[in-house]
Amino acid sequence: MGGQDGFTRDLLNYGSESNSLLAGFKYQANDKWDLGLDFSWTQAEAALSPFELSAPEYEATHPTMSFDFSESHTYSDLDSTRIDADAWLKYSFNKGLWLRFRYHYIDYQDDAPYLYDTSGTFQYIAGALGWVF
Amino acid sequence: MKTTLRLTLALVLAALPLTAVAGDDGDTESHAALGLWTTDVDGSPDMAAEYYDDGSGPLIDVTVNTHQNWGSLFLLGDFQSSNQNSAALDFDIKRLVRSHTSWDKFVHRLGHDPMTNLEATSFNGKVVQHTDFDPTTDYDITYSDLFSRTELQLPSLRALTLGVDFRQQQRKGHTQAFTTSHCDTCHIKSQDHALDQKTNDVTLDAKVAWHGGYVKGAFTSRELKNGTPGVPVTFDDALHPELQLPLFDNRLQYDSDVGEVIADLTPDINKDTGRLDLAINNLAGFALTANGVWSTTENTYTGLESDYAGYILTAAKRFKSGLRLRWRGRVYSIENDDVFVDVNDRPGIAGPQAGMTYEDVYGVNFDHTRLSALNRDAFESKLDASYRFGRKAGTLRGIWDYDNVDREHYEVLPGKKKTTTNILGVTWRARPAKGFKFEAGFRHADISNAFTLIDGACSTLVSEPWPNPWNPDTPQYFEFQDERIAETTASPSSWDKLDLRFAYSTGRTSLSAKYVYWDGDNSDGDLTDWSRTNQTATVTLWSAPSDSWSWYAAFAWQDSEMEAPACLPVFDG
Repeated sequence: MGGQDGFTRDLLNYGSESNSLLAGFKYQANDKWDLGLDFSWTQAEAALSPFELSAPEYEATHPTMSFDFSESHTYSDLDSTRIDADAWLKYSFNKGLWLRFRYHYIDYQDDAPYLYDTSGTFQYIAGALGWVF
Repeated sequence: MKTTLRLTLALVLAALPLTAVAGDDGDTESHAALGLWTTDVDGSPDMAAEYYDDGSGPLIDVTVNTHQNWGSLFLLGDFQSSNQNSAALDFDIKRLVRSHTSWDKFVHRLGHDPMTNLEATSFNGKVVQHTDFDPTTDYDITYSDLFSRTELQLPSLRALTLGVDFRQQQRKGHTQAFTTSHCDTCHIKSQDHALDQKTNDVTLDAKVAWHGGYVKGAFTSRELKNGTPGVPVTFDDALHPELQLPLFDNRLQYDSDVGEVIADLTPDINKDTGRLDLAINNLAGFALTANGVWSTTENTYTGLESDYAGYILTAAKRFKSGLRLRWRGRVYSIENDDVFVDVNDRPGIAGPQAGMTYEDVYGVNFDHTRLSALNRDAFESKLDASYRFGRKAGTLRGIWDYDNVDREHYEVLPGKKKTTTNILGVTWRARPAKGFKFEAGFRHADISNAFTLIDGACSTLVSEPWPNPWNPDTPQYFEFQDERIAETTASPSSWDKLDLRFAYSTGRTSLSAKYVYWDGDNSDGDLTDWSRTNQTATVTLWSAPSDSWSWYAAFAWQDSEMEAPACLPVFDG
């Protein structure tokens, strides 16, 4: 048992930043067409700056011990990008009958996996015939 | 698929007779849609489809909306799958009975932690190891929320409204349960925990209204039941890492010798809440509201209770001079039962401490009574005064928020149990020209005795090396902890906030922008060097060039910087 020799201390700096762009349009014409698109892009990242928790005097007398934390800050890296696009279209044949479609696309890229790589793409498509009664 | 088709058919059949009920006299608008949906997932669905069901099948939605002489009816059904659907039913019968019911159900993917991050620095299993008993399980739950409120108001007694609410939330599925055995190595085990949780709320209320205000009383009973509250686990045998002998049984409450124990436990809860509200529209020119809330929450496993009592009073008045005053005061108290923790103090079974408990060797008994850190009496005051100079010159507003939390047991700085917050702020809002809006605000907060953990880090212990852990002079972990000197925190002792907003509109086009800056820090305790800066900015542009189409574009930015100290004990053991 090597005993304790006090503590080592450093100030940690943790930063995060995110940027999001959103855009969309909606079009309605002649009581026939109703269509639109919503789009968003978000990129977010977070990181811990390098820190030092060295104990040179203790390491000199306890050569089996290591206080090298030069890579430890990288374990907190987060970096992800998400694209979300949602498009829909509705066509009315007359006042009582219409047809609609929807397409939803999501792409999530996990560029600095934390527990595991959660990157993935999800696509949804739906169509329906509707009537007024 | 069979369930889906049955539900589809049931929705259509339910909607058709409702159109007959609607009759021909009033205004009815109903529609139905039938279709198909399908999905495609590439890679992990855990984030991309966190709240979406995958697969394929039929979809149906039905809406019936009618207003008749007898009242009105609204029915909505939206079915995609047994995991993702919603419904609503509203009706109003001659204003005598008014009812709203809604239902929502969706999936929430929780992900599956493979625990491989535990191998970041150590791969040989001596320091840390992990075992996944259900490595292929997809952890997710379906959440459903049923809410219904019905009000009764008799024509002969219009002043009185009686109401009954019912809400049921269900979480069904599987979650990942983790347990840690810590002796030989740090051994993290993962297993499936089936979840079948149900929370029911029933509320009865009565309201008497008159021209100048109202009084309302309500009682809510909540019952939370976990169908499978815990999972069985057998902790590892407490062995010496090198000798692989059971030398440390007197240092651990549980190991394989005590057999199976229940872990990942969530208790069943009962909660009763009473509430009384009073509103007076004009008393000496002031609009007044007052309310009181009393609740008792019981952990039905242990019988431990938590009591809350809170009272709020608000007053507002607009003077002819253009001055407007608003004040909100709140007092509340929280009283939790004390908890006696009876530590499982086992004797050693081998080695130099065989037959002796930890207390026998070191003279320390860890049995204790836990006094709640949440027990408190608190007072909050929010004062707001504004004066309008004119449309172009704008409105100037000043605020003073005062908050005092007096804890019964818990010290947040040495000898200090009371935290006092004062926030002073000023806002100017104006419309300097046609179509332009501008708002600027600044707030400063000063917090005396902000929340810290006293002696939470930085152990100053200096000891000699000893040949083995059984030597009575070898320092113990509680001695390491007793020598800590740093107050740790994530709460500011002062902060400043700047808020700028701008908007311009021409009728068919609008531009708005917002920027918020927040900066706080805390260096009140020993070695407490915490600080944080947050910034957010948004810009939104919207336009409708014609009645047939419109578009928008927006940008949002967020940036945060935080500084906090880390302390590491320098030791080998």
